[in-house]
Amino acid sequence: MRRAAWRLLLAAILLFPVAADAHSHPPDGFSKDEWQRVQSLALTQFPPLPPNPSNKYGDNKKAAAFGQKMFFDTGFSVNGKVSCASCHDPAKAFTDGRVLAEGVGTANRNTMGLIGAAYSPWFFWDGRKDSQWSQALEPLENPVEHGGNRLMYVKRLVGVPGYRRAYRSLFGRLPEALKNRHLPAPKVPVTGAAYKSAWSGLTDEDRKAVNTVFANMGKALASYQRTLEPKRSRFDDFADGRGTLTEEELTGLKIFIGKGTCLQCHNGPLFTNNDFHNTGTPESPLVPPNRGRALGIGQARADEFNCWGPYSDAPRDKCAELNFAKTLGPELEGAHKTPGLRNLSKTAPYMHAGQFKTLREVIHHYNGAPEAIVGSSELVPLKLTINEMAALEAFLRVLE
Amino acid sequence: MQIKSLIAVILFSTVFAQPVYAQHKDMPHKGHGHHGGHKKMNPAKLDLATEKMSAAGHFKVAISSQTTPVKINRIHAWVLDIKNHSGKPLSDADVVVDGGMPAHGHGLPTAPRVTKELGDGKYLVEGVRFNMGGHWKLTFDITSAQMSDKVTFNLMIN
Repeated sequence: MRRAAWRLLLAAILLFPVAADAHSHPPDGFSKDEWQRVQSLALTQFPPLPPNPSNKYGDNKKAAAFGQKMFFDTGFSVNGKVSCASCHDPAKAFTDGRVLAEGVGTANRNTMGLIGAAYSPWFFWDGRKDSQWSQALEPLENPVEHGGNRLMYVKRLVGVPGYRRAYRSLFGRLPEALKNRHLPAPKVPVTGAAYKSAWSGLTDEDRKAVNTVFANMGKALASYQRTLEPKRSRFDDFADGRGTLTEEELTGLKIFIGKGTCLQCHNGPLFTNNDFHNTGTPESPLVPPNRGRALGIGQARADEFNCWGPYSDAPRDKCAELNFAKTLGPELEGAHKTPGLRNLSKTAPYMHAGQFKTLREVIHHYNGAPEAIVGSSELVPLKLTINEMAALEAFLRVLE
Repeated sequence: MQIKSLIAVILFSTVFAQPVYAQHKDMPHKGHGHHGGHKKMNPAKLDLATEKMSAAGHFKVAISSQTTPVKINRIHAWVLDIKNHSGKPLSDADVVVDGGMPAHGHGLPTAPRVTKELGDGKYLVEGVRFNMGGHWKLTFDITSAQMSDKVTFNLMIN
């Protein structure tokens, strides 16, 4: 123990000044202000996870383990073939490499990554969900994603002994209404007549019991996703004074924090402000244009699984983002969520409908700043040269 | 041997990582975080006063954030302190909060509002969040039983 203490002291002496030095003294070529901007993006600035008051199981390790099992389980789908991981593939930074997500059918959105998602107050491209647990429930019931319904999922959860035990040890006894009862659980989408009549035939108490278990599934899934944090990148090593970047990458970094104006929205260590912006992305040949956040916020407010609802663990005054969300305004029209920029080489194609296959196309779009097809674009032309655009792309590739 | 080294590293992280974490907690704190300790940029020579007379001179208004330094992407609250022109705290005022980034032509990303009158002319403004660094404006439309006036504050957010 004494030797350990000596080692601690030695480690402190050897390591601490290096880290402190990297923050306070900008390297050659960076002004103090530029270096401060660089630092604001580094993983050393990564704050602890913000609490999610609507999910009291959010930081429960057992809930995370339970959620992880369900995340990879194709049993929670109408055809037994789709799990969360079908689109959120860990090998692709929890995306799928597809233009549009594919589950039972083809969705109308590009799959969003999950690393660091727990830092966001809003979920989906249009922010129609205000918590990760509530978000997790929607794909399960989307007819083109998992394609099933909550009755089916609750029945399966109760029917698999491992899940039932995990559920009980976390959330307590199953609601009385579900015990020794055989609720109908048709294997059809929520849009199916068999589901609709089964659901409407239940008592209020039964429905509440099913919703409670369904919401708790979401809470466990969210708890797992809260553990998905970004890994150190070459950029972080550079920002800490432990690594170097090439001349081209450095040029790109300076454009990123300077005239590229990327930092306006892609700020902080996750390279996103987790807010909604209209960047005038072109029309997708596959899905119709949409109003984005202008519709999403209304859906979030009306959602039975939101922070205000009966399945939330938060008192209403802890639902700050929902309480003070902007519900009207030209900024919401056609606005979509700013995605983070770590792991970009694994997360192509880009934009909410996968409109761009390559980073080069993305950068060309920002450079040209075309008019929006819905609402008005916040972009202004950047007037970057071909070389500057190439440098910016080179920099973006060091974020992994 | 290896286990002891591991213990040393873990102890080291616990001892030295703690102050770094403490800076990022969502609570008000003093001292010099990476974002807040330095002098803020003010290239346009803006009036950054946090205490001023309203446009028509009816009210003396001061604002202070409950979280310092103000960080982007965190929802937080401000306290608005309103006095009438003779310096008496103004109670029962109606206040409408607005703002945005003049250079970008967009408003605030949230819809902050006064949620509580704290007494002594003070009002709690909850739900403020800035989603990017730069020059922001916060505007308060104040209506008392006798008169209405407006005041705008400039903020440089890092």
